[in-house]
Amino acid sequence: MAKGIIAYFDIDTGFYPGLHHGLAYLMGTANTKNDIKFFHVFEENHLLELGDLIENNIWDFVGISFTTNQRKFIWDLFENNKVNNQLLIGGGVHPTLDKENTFKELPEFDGICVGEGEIPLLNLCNRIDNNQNILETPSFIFKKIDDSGKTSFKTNPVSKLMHIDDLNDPDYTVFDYKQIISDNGNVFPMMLGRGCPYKCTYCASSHLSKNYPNPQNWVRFPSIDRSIRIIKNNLELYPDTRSIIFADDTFTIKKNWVKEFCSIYKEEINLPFECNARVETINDVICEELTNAGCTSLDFGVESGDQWYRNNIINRKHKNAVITKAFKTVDAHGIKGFSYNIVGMPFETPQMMKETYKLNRYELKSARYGRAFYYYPYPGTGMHDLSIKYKLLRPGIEQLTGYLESPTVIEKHSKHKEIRKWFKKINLIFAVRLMCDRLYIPRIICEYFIIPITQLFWIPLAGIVEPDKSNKIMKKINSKIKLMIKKLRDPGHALYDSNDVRKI
Amino acid sequence: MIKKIWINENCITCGNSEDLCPEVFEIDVEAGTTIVKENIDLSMYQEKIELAAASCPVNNIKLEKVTK
Repeated sequence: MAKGIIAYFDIDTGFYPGLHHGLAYLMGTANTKNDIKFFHVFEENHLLELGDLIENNIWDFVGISFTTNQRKFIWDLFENNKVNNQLLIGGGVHPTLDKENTFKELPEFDGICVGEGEIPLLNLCNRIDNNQNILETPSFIFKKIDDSGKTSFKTNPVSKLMHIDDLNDPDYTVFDYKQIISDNGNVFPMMLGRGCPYKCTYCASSHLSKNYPNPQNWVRFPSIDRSIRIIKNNLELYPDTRSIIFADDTFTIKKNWVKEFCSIYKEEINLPFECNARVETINDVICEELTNAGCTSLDFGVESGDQWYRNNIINRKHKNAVITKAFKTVDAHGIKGFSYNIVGMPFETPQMMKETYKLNRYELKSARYGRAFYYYPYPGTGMHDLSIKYKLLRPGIEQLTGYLESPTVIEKHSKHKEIRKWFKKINLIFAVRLMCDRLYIPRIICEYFIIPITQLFWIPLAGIVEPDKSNKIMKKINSKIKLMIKKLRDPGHALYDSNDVRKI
Repeated sequence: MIKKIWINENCITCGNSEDLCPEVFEIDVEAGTTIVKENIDLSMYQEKIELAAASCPVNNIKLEKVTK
């Protein structure tokens, strides 16, 4: 029985629910025959605890799963603890996207796991158990240092993508799931399928798929039986669940799957839910099926209101009219549409950001909640490559941990002041809409009276709605308001902030 | 050999086919669908077309083949 530890770095990311679905699946698979501890690192003081745990035990391996914006905490961990006597493995999105630099930036790593880790980790454990050569484990890259001190790498072929039905069920009990779900208003986030077919240049998804020998199988939907079984098992874990978020990248791609799922979900589960969707996949038929099954909201990535920029730089090839039609369609079926946007992308001008603002403000009045985020460059993605090629990234961005802190581009096409302005103005729209809905204020009053006034006084108001990280007083007021809004009506959308809800 | 290609309704414009075989497929933003470019010698891109069709996430690309 291999003895290991998997640490998941999730500090100060801001908006994400604390359950990591991929790692829940990984633990559900790898821990059946092994002794693997899971450590959810979501506060800086956890680094001390993790450091002690690593230093004071003999592990067969220490696995660290992280995204690009968590590197600074791993540097801290490695700098302040003796970790060199352990087999250190990096995994997750960042090591998969940026293999070479992971070894350069974090030379303490002995190896990295490329891509989905369930079966590779199981293989590694088996090899450890059977005293076999671990350097041959599929999907791993291992660093080798010979007697002369020369470094080389053993790169093993990446295992094929498995069908989702062949994986074990996820194990959410490795997280402090009761606290996380309770803090989230008893909304249980789950993930059923995997993969997104779209190729947005800011996103890691399509780049992750390129690592596999069978990328054509990247988008996977589970059987309906399995989906319902997993949901039921999760609900047994947390019977107070009042609503579910399906965190699948794009829930609405396969219309036949959605149709069958919705009819059985209604019969067997019958709880309100929300999910992610693409505007191109929305029509009356699918909305009717979703509504009947209990769908309360659909989350859409709008990303940019400038059609040229969206089509040509972000690689999202649809017209603004398709976005507005999708929002109107879901609204007509009583589903709330949520709009997610990015500002401060490479080559994006203030006029382009203004288009994003205008689209959300005037065309998407039915977008009752949403968000603007600052662009964050993920190595290996098309937009990151473009940013590097044209030297558009500002120094020091490795210190950023989320999408809400500050712009990442240099002031070439937009001043940071402009980027912050549109970030705050867009977020103010959504904060006001959310508040109005929670207070049952009619939409017409919200749109034609309250929003115009709040936009007029956006500077002081945005200070409360979107406080700067350094402004502790505003952050405190912001947290209190968010908690208050959460209590106004439920089940509500995952209005979530890691700083104010995870009091574990 | 591929004689004819057509794209069914409900294309989700994910760009998969355009990515795999840009010589044959492209997204028409105005029409809101993927289209097959005109006057293309399909025999030159046989493998890429088949891969694009096989990996279409909604099985929307249909091929008509003829045996030599």
